[in-house]
Order: sequence, then structure tokens, then C-alpha cells
Amino acid sequence: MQGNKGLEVSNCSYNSPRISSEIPDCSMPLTFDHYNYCSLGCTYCFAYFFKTNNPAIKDHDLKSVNTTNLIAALKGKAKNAHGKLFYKHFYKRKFLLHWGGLADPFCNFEKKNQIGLPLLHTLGELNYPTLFSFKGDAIFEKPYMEVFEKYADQRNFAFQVSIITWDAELAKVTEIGVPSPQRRIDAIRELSTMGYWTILRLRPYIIGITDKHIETLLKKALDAGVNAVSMEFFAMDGRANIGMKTRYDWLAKILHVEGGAKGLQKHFHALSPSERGGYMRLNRLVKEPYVKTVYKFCVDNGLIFACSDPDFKELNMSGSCCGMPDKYPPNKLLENWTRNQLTYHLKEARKKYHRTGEKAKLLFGEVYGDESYFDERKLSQDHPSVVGMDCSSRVNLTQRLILQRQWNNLRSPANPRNYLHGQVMPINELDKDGNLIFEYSPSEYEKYWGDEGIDLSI
Amino acid sequence: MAGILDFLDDETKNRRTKKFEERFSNSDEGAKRKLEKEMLKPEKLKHYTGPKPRAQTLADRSVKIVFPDDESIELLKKHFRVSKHVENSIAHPELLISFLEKLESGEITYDKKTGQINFCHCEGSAPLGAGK
Repeated sequence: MQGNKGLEVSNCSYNSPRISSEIPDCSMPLTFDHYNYCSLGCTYCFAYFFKTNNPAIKDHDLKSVNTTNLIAALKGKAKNAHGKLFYKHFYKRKFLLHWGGLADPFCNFEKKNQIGLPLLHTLGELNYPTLFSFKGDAIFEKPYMEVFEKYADQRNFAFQVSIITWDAELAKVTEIGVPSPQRRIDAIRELSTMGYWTILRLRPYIIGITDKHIETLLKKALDAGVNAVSMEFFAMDGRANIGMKTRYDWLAKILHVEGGAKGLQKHFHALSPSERGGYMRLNRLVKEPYVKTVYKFCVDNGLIFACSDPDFKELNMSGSCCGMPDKYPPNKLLENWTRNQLTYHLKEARKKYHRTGEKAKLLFGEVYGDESYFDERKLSQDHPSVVGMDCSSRVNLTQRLILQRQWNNLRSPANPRNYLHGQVMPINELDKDGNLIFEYSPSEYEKYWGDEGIDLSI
Repeated sequence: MAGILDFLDDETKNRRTKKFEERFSNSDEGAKRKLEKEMLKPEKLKHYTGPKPRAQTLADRSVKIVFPDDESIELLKKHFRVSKHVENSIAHPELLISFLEKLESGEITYDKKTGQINFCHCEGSAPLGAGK
């Protein structure tokens, strides 16, 4: 990050966990980072794009969370309002914590400062379900491995390891300062051997990079003991700054797109559905052969296929697009993620269609159900949509109102029809509360894949 | 399977991905990017022509009030904190809600002709403003 002063933490004022803005289709909206930045330099990093375009970020000092306060909150002894609020809605019922949303929990900042270590111990002591999303190798350090070995029988931890290519040389130039793919596979192997649930996080899948050695990467992950594969394709942020341009120039070169950053932008603009707005995601026709390879591999090898991408999201085999299991007998707390979100209901709709031929209807009240945090006013204050709102509206805003506004606004990129680009379509009637009703609308690939003998009813 | 073919009537789709794969088979990566751009552009979604959603929104819960004179608005500011962020608004209207509830229940009445407020001193009634 430009202007960063080094590895030292300047203060512990970073506010996390928070509610993810991906809440409409996210199974684990309780997202957490213990540092405000990440030491790894991945050229495709979406967090970099978000943070460098966020006018609220005025300095680049490295900050951490206050672990003392957070540990107190996890135990129900919070002294601050934030901790009390999160205890009430999440910690009290041991809602799954997703550690590693906008930064890496085991990057060099952690290696130097070890701020996450006491928190790890507490999560173990509390048998608190936690999913780590990482690439960094601080996890191999003795104090961390000792924690994970200690709680291996308890199995309250799960791990997502991000790898986008098996080619170490390509990885070295695309993911600056990140341990090699082989080292990350070692992490999967060690954690799987301990008995933990592990996930290959194939994100972002970059067409032109990831597809080069995908079969080898999947095979290596399988051999290392992985339980699930979660994929999502690289999306291009339509906003621009100097740092992003440098990264896009580089990516354009690797991807063989002419014209540097501008050429890459034109490429994405031409191939991305305009209904999804300025965060450009290639359409499903471009992605189809790559998804098919990964999906088939998962079916053939008994792995959970998960897809966080809005295209092919219906193919998820569990209701969690991160690849968490629906059922986990060794520790049922790892099942404690929400089904009140679009991914779960879309998956169910796809299964119903391929088992019965019936097109399921999606109703707002059924999709978002009864989650206390949807109606807590203070928990919507971090949402980007509060920008530009008057004080009265902001104070009365809830996550449910935000979700409902997106659900009923067919011009919103977050509207289910637009976000899923036609995989659900509004029908000509409203529900009893006056909300749109969406219906499962199968894509053409579902017919072709079925003809090829690929099971879409899993 | 019943129903699985009913969405495939549109011949224009005609499996573009297969045609793309056939043409791509002997191309290099740069050519593939160009072919993608040429052959795999997304289709526009069908226009929705059904009824407009009528679910309540936050906007449905707000109302603009313009006071007739400076004295009235100053009086309001004495009893409510008026935020000037983006536009003038009151984030905590509890006193107003309490007043309206008392008006609704008949504990107070308002005479439009005289502008007088009358209190019903019923046994057990709470004082004005203690409702929430």
C-alpha cells in the first residue's frame, strides 16, 4: 500500500468484525480482519481497489484491532457498544466467524506483530467456529501450529487457501511477496492431516492464468486432502487510479489483451453484462468451459463444489459459496452459517429444477427469513449506501431495508435478476407485501451439460 | 426431463460456446481474447413488464414539513435535535410519536378552531412525552 511505513503497528483502533456488504448472497456476513492492510501484493486484489478508492481512508498507518476488547466481547463481557452489539447478534450463538475478508490473517504483519495469536487461543478455548481465508505462511510458525494441533480434535477451525495457479513463476509475478503455490498446498496438507475442513480457494480465477495448469492444481489440492473447491472469476473495477492502472497494465500483458489497462477495460466492458454496473464481471458464456472443468472434477472426486461468482452460483453443492459444509458431524458449530441468503435458495432452486422439472419461486420473506441482525439499525451504518443519506434516514436504515430496496429495484446492479444475470427472473405478480417474486430460469448450459452426463441435481 | 427444453426454443443462442471452442482450437492466447470479444458478448435481459413493487421503503416513512414562520422552527429546534447533514432532518422523533399516540388514544385532544390542546386527566394516564 502506497505510503505504508513498514511492518510496525501504529495503534489498535481498527474496527472489526463488520457486516459484509456481500450480505445478499453471503453465508458468513460476520467478516473479520485484524489488520487494516495486508502485506501481500496480489495484482488482482479487490481489497486494494476498494481501499484505494475509499475517500474515508486518509492515512496509511498499519492499525490492528484491539484484541483485549474483542476477546472480552466474544466472552460476553464487552464494555463498548460495538462489542455488545456483535455479541448480541453473533458471538452469543457462535455464528461462524470469517477471518480474512480484506486482508490476510497470516501475512507478514502477523509474522512480525503476532497480534492475532491471543485471539486464536481464545477462539480455540471457546470452541468458536472460525473459517480462515489466507495465503500467508505465518501459519507455519510454531505458536500457530501449536494452537491448531491443540484443537484438532475439536475441529472448530476451517481453512480456505487461495491459489490461482500451479505455475510458481507466474504466481511470483502476479502475487508479489506471496508464498509459492506449492507452499500453500503444503498448508492444506498439514491442516487436512490434522483433520480440519480445508478448501481450495480458486479465487480469483483469471482466464489466461488459472486455466493454464488447472488440472494439476486441482489434483495437487485433492492429494493434499482438500474437502471443497470455491471459485470466483476476476472482476474489473470500473473506477481508476494510478495504482490500479499499473496493476491493470500488468494484468493485460499477462492475459494477452492488447492496449494495456485501457485495452483490458474495453475487453471487460464488451464482455460484461451492463445490468451489473461498473464492477465488471465477464458473462457466463465466457466462463462456462472453466467452470465445467472444476465442477466435473468435484463431482468425480466427491468434493464440494462452491461458486461465489454470480454466474454459476446455482451450482453450489452447499448453501455456502465459500465451500463450508451443510452438515459437519465432527463439530456442528461449523454448520452455523446463515441459510437466509440468495446462494442457499438459488442452489435449492437448481436442485429442485433438475430433480422435478419445477421452477422454484423466490420470495423476499423466505429468502431473507428471520435474522436479528437484519433489523438492527446500528448494524447498517457501515454499508456503502449510507453515503449521501440524511441523518434521519441513516439512523432508521436496516440491512433488511437495504436488501428489500435492492430486491425491488430492477435498475440496481445488486437486484437478483441483474446480479445473477437472468438465472432468476421476475414474474408478473407481487407477494403479499408488494415485493417482486423471482423464478428460477435455467441457462442453456444446463441442458448441454445434462446431455453430456454431468449430474446437476447434487 | 419435463420442462428442461422449454427455454431452448430461441435458436439465436444455438450454443455459442461450442462454436467458440471450435474456432479457438488452433488459436493462441491473444487471438482467443479477440475471439471472446467477438463471439461471446452478453445478451440483454428481457424487459420486465409486470406490476411495480409496492413494498414500503424508508422513503415511504418520511415526510417533509415546512414551518410557517421562524418562531415555529426555533421552537422545534428547542425540543428536537435537527441535523443539517445532507439536509435538515430529525433522527429521534420519539417525543413527536409519543404526542401523536396520546392524541390518537384521546388522552389529549386538539381543537382546530381555537388551536387549544385539552388534556384528559384519566386515572393512570402517563404524562406527555413518557410514551416511548
